[in-house]
Order: sequence, then structure tokens, then C-alpha cells
Amino acid sequence: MKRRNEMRAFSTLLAMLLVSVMVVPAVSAAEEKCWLFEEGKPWFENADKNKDVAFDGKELVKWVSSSSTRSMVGWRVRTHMWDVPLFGEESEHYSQARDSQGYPVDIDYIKVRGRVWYDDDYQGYYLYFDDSDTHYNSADALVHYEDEHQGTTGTFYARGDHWLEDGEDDKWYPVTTDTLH
Amino acid sequence: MENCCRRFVFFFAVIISIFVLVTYTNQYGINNQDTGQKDIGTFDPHSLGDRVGIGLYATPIHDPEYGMPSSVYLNHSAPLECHLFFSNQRPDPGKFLVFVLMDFQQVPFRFEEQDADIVFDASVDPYEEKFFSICIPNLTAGRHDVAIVLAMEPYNHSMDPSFRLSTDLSSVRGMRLNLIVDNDTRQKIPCDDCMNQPFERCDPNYPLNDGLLLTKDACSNKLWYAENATPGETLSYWINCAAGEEYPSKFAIITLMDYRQIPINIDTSDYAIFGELAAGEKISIPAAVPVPKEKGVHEFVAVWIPLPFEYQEKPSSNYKYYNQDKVLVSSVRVGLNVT
Repeated sequence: MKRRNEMRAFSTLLAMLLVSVMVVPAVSAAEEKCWLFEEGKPWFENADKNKDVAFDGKELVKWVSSSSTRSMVGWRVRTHMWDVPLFGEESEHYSQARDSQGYPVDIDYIKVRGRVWYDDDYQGYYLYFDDSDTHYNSADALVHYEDEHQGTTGTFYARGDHWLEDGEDDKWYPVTTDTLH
Repeated sequence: MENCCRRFVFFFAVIISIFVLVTYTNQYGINNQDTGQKDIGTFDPHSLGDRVGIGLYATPIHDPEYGMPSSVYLNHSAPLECHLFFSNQRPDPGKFLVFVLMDFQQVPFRFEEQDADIVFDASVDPYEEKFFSICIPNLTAGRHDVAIVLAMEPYNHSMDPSFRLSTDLSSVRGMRLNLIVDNDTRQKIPCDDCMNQPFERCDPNYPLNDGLLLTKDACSNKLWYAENATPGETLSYWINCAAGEEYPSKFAIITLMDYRQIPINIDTSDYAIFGELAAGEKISIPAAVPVPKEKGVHEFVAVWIPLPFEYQEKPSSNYKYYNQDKVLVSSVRVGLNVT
């Protein structure tokens, strides 16, 4: 009797552990956000404009170059995220140029590229999705991917690549959001 | 007594479960706040995590007003001089390599007044900003496509796939400019508006878009990122290229072994692939790389350089390649482990 109770308790413990391990990755969402605006607050909570850098683990490069008529400033932001799916996968990459109040500002060039790789149970990484959205004189660019292989296992890897460029450096700020869930 | 024991075990199980839940929550970065303003963090412990500023300046003053013009006009007797700005806002030293592509070929140049060489090491201390002087001598007349290129984390030889994937698009970065020496006559390239290499056509559903991907098989979507090799052997691989889904792409591709340029194929001296693809067109180009004789991990990378010899300034809306990405990007860095 005692042995059966111990076995039952052990089974309960094992079941709860398994449920914990399985459920949490399923509900988790890999997401990266950069320079989100709160209305009325300065944009660079996460960045030091004087140093040309961001502080939140994103890879950020600010380029400076000049055309024959004016200097250009370009921001390149790249993110990489991993996720273990249980019920399919969705990836979204969004570039925005915004003013200090969070309103859209049309800039010379705005582009986002999203790439999604899939590791088929340690058999290697396969490119599943690669798309970009480019605009001139615009404030927004967006790409979106939805996995059709529902119920797959393995690991998804997503890469967001944002590029924003304009001659005016003071009137807009790059806002990028990448999600994988 | 039995009840007491059962409750104890049940409580223990609950506590363990909560612990596991919290651990997983932290690992997966679930930290949502009602405001939605919280950064959730990166999921790749091997991420490059760069926080850098890079610029090319005519004079060493950190102000966009002094940025290097995208078109530079020189007399043939004058060298091209510019200043590379690098701001390293990380707790670790920023180490990188610098080289110059003149019409898609590495050329000797002077870096920080050192004797001319093909590739230079550079480093910037933690939280330091620095200018590096660059001087490219011996210019020939005509219009040149110049790229000042930085290779990031050149001495990280990790074979971990998460590191390898993080090098996609970004392990090599370049700033380009049009250099006009004496006159605006464009350099001749082996093939204009076509491909200078044999290739196989890929299915229109092949997922690649406006860029390149290195694989071991033609038109495969399985990434080639690492391989064990023996000294001196030849590794065959494929360079898969694609135009944008809705716009044409014109490009050059070069390959680098340990950041030194090598021919695209062992039986040719072609230093670059030049090509143009119609919207939605996707191809696979056979290539081969000789494995270095020195043991250890060697870094092999291909670089996609859009719009060779085209002007770098903002195009007009009727420009044929209006929508093409104009920034130089790298393939995933392939680690060749020579044993």
C-alpha cells in the first residue's frame, strides 16, 4: 500500500514536470522590440543617440555617408530569435520611422527583411522564408510569415534586418519590432 | 501518516513544478508587462550583440556634415583618403578586420599610416570611439566602385550553429562610394546584364529572395555552415542567388577565405560573379573552394554586393533597380575545420 502511494506520488510529480516543460514553450513568444514609444516620452530610452547605439542586445549600426548634395544617416538594426513551436510558427518584422510623439515620418528609404530558418530535429537548418519590403519616401515597412507546417517540432530561428535612411537625422527615429511565436 | 506523507509529496511536486515554470519563463524571456513597453530580450546566447556606430568621413570629425560623399572626384595623381569611424559601446573590445574592394577586387591600401597591405587588424577599446585613417594609392583613370569593408568578429571560430546563423547578412559590412578619377568611364566587367558563370535554374518557389545562400546541393534550402575537411582537398558547393519576388536584381559576388579574396572556382581566375536576374528569377551557381593546408578552423564567406558600378545616390522612381536592397551583405560564415 505504502509502495503504491509512493509510486502514485512519484507519477504525479513526473506528470507535473512534463506538463511544465511542454506547456511553457508552447505559450512563450520570442519577441524583440526596439525603441518603442510612450507618447510624450523621449524615444531613446534604449539608445544613446550621441553614441549611435542601442542598449538592448540588438545589433545596431548607424552609418554616416554623404551624397553629393547632403549627408545621409542610415540605421541598420538586426535581430535574431529562437523559438520552439508546438502549434506552428509565426514571424513578423516591422520597421517604422517615427517622430518624438510617435507619429509617422516619411523618410528617403525604409526596408525590412525577415528570414526564418527551421532546424529539423538536428538534421540541419533549412531556409523556410525570406522576404523583404522596401519603400522610398515612406514611414513603414513590414513582412510577415506564417508556418504552414502545423504541429512541427524542432527549432525555428528568425532574423530581422531593418534599414532606415534619410538626410534628416533629427526629425525621426527608427522603431523596429520583431516577433516570433 | 500516509495522508501526511501524500500531502508532503504533493506539495513538493507543486513547488518543483513552480520552480520549473519560473525557470522556463526566464529562459524564454516571458516578461510581458501591461504597458507592452518591456524589451523581452534576445534568445541567442551567442549573438553578436553588436552596439556600434560606423561611418566614413572625409575628415576625422564626428558630424554627418563631414561624412564622405558617395561620389568622389579625384585627379589620378592623388590617392583616395578617408577616415573610418568606429564607436564601440560594448564592455568588450571591438575587434574587426578592414579591407578595400576596388572594382570588386581587394587592393593594397594604407591603414593608420602603416605600410600598404590587403587586410588590416583593428580594435577599439570598450566604450571607445575612434577614427582610422585610410589611404588608397595608385588609382587608375575612370569610374570605380569602391567599398570599405569591415569583417566583424574575425577570430570567433565557434562551430556552434547558433553563432554561425547569427553571422547571416552581417559578418561583413561595407560602405561604398563611386570614385571618379580623371574621367567617368566605367570599368569593363566580364559580363554586363547577364551571368558570367554557368548555373542551374531553381524552382520559383525556392524561398530565397534578393540575396544569396550557400548550400552543398543545387537549389537546396539546407544551409551549409560547417564542415570537417582535410588539408588541400577541394570542397564543392553551390551559390544560390535570387532576385526580389517583384523586382530585378543586379549583383556581384565575391568569396573570401579567412578574409582574403579567392577565385569563385578553382579552375578559373574569376575573382567575382557578375549577374542580373529578372524579378522572381532564382538560380544556383556551382563553385569550389580549396581547403587551406593549415589545421584549425578557417572562415569562408561569400559576399553579395548589389548594383555593381551603379551610382550610390538615391535613385529616381523610374530606375530599373529602384527596389533592390543596396547594402552589401554576407552569407552565413562557413566554418571549415581542417584536421
